[in-house]
Amino acid sequence: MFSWIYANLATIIITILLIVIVVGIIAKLRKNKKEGRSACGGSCGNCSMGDICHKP
Amino acid sequence: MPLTLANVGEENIIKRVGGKPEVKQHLENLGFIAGGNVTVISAISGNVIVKVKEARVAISREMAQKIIV
Amino acid sequence: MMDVVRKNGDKINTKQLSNELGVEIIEISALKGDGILEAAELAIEVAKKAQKNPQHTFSGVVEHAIAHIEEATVHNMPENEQRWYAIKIFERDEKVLEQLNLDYDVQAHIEEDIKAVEKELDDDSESIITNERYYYISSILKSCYKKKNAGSMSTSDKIDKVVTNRWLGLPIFAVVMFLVYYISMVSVGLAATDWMNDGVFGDGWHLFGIGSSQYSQATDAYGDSDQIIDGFVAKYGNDKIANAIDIENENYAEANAKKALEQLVDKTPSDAKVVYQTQDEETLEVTYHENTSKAELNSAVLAYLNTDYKEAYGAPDTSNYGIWVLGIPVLVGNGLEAVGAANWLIGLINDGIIAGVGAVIGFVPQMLVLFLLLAFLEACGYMSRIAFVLDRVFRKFGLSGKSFIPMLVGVGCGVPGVMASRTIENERDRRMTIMTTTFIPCGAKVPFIAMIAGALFGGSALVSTSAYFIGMAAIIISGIILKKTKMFFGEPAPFVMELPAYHLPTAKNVLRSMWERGWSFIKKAGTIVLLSTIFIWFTTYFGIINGDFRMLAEDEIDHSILAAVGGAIAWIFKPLGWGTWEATVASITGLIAKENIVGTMGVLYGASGNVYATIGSVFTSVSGYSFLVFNLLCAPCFAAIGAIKREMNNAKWTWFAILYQSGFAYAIAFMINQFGGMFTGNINAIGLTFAFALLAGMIYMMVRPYEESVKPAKKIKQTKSLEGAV
Repeated sequence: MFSWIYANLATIIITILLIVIVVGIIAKLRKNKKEGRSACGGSCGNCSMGDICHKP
Repeated sequence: MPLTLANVGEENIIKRVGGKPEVKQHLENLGFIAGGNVTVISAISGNVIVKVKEARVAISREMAQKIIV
Repeated sequence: MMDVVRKNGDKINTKQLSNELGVEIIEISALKGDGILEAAELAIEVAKKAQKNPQHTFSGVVEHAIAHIEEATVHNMPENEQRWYAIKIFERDEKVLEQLNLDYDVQAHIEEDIKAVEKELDDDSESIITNERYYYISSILKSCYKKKNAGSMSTSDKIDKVVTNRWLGLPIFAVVMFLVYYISMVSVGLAATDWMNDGVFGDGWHLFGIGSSQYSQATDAYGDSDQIIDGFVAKYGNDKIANAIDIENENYAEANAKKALEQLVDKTPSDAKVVYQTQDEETLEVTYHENTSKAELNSAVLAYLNTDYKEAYGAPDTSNYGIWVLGIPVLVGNGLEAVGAANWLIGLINDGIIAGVGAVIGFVPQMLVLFLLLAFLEACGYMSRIAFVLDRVFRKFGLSGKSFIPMLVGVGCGVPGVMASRTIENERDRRMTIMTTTFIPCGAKVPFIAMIAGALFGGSALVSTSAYFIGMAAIIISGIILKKTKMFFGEPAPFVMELPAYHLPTAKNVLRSMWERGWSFIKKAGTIVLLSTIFIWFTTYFGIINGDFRMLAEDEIDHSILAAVGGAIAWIFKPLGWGTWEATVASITGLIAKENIVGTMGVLYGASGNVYATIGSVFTSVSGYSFLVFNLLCAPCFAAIGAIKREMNNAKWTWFAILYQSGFAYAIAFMINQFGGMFTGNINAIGLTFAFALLAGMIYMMVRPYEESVKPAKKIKQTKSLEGAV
């Protein structure tokens, strides 16, 4: 079994890296959702909307 | 005459502000009061841009008709 | 705004003003940032010291009433607050009255007083206070404020005269929007996007362009030599010769190649006439060159063997000229192969993630320029004028210009656009505005608009401009149609808006706004699009062939899981001209984020290496435009749908909005495809009949007369309040 792991080491490492990135992204998206940040992404201070946005 | 008929570029004195109480209040808060000055800057089929109390305000025809100069 | 004051040459005597008002005054300019710190510090200082109340008195009869009110109601409050409350009571302010909760007879008594004043001054109490305040302000200003050019028109006014002119206003607006899209998409955009798509995310590029001119000279000199040789090999050569001259062959050796070419020349008779083909890189169009003589073969061979202007035999290798930077897919591919990663992993990363995300990121240069221009337009104050100009157009159809402001905001992102509908008091108008705001192309929709423009319309800026105006037309048409239904009927709200003076926005503000939006775009690409491309890749490159479940090769993806799922729904879009599973899937991923459309197409059509070329061959101008319009108008991304839900606060209305948008999008795209077919010769009798019927139906919905029924729909309850009975 070890020889199989050794032979595919690069694949395994990169795959694990990818999974970590994906999980990290999902976690960040859910955190943003909880805070109620909108997809607009800007800070309300400079938005030229004239304060009507009312981000909760 | 109502503001909608005023000439562009002419400074007029407001004689009366009519309309329902909320409308009247709204207009007065913007600076349209009896005795004040108002100048029409631009007009499109009754909708006007005017200079009032050093501010530039755009109002639609129905509102502009309630302002008598 | 002291900077504006000074620029106009006006003078404010701050000391005098301070005396008159009885408070300290500091001049600031929020835009430039002058004096803000001093103002804050002064505010803190003054707050610590004891308060000196400014003395302002109204006219006698009003003061009399106020004194009465103070006595009767608020005399047990702290002294410096009494006056404020008394004035508010005089104005009959609802909130204050509620808060104070005065006794019935006290209120009745005060009411007498107020009415007396109103009768004497022939005006209502609120107006009296407002008027008096304005007189007070004017009297103070007389001594403190000197205007430089009293009465004449300022520069802003002069600009407004032109820009809001009844004949010029709209055309000027159209030209401005066209310029915005032209500058961002075409002039700057095209070169940048080509560099991104073919270079950074393609094969590679010359650093600062070093070497590219020499390379193009070399290729010009080389001409079609490779293809000519191939043509002759096909007719007079054999496999051995073909392999020997193939530079990419593992066993390539120059000596063998030379020998093979000499063999080929020998075998070719001197009167030979051969056909060879060339393929255009962009359009994938194949051209057949006939009657090619041996003389041309000879020159082709000479070119192949020539090492004067190139390093080796064969076609010039671009990496040998100047400084060549390898494209990311090449680098990553090489790297992964070197460490021995599995094939499927390389496929996932290169054909999935990099292809998808890269396609989206490829648009960043154009998006940055677009955001820059939009930020400038918003900040300089022009956009409010447009709301005014369009109000005249809207009003004819029962809409108010106030519905336009969310549309303006929506050009950046639809979410704040939907939220901007809060300024509309009329509930029905508000709902309608929420439903139609997302018709305008938001920032996320620009990539796929640009992609269709680039692949099918030669990158013309007219495509994006037309998309913007189609969005606007959709809003107007929907407004007209919906206003005639019972749900939305009503007079448009009056339109009042203060217009700020035109001013040149600071570079800092504009750049910051551009950067914020740009960064959010990139973040979205790196998160949502990334996740989607991974999912899309897995479902595309795995499927069942001949009963076997395994990873698929590039030309087998029609058998993938995704193709099966997409194919099950794709037939719905056949009448629109693009009933392929790829297009269907792309549109569905657009629900998650509109950028995904580009990302998905990057994965699904990128297999052959050139996404644009593949799109160019799969879509026609008509079907491509139909695809564009459908995705432009249909239901927005989840984030925007969430915003709609929050603003509507009602599931039924939210569903209605989404279904209306999608249905409308379907209808328009259908008509485009059918009517467009009339011009390209692709006529489908049944489809065309339906299209005409649809068009007739829509026109009817727009022009039919509508009268609100005079009889009330429900019996009005006698008791309770009469509110809303009208």
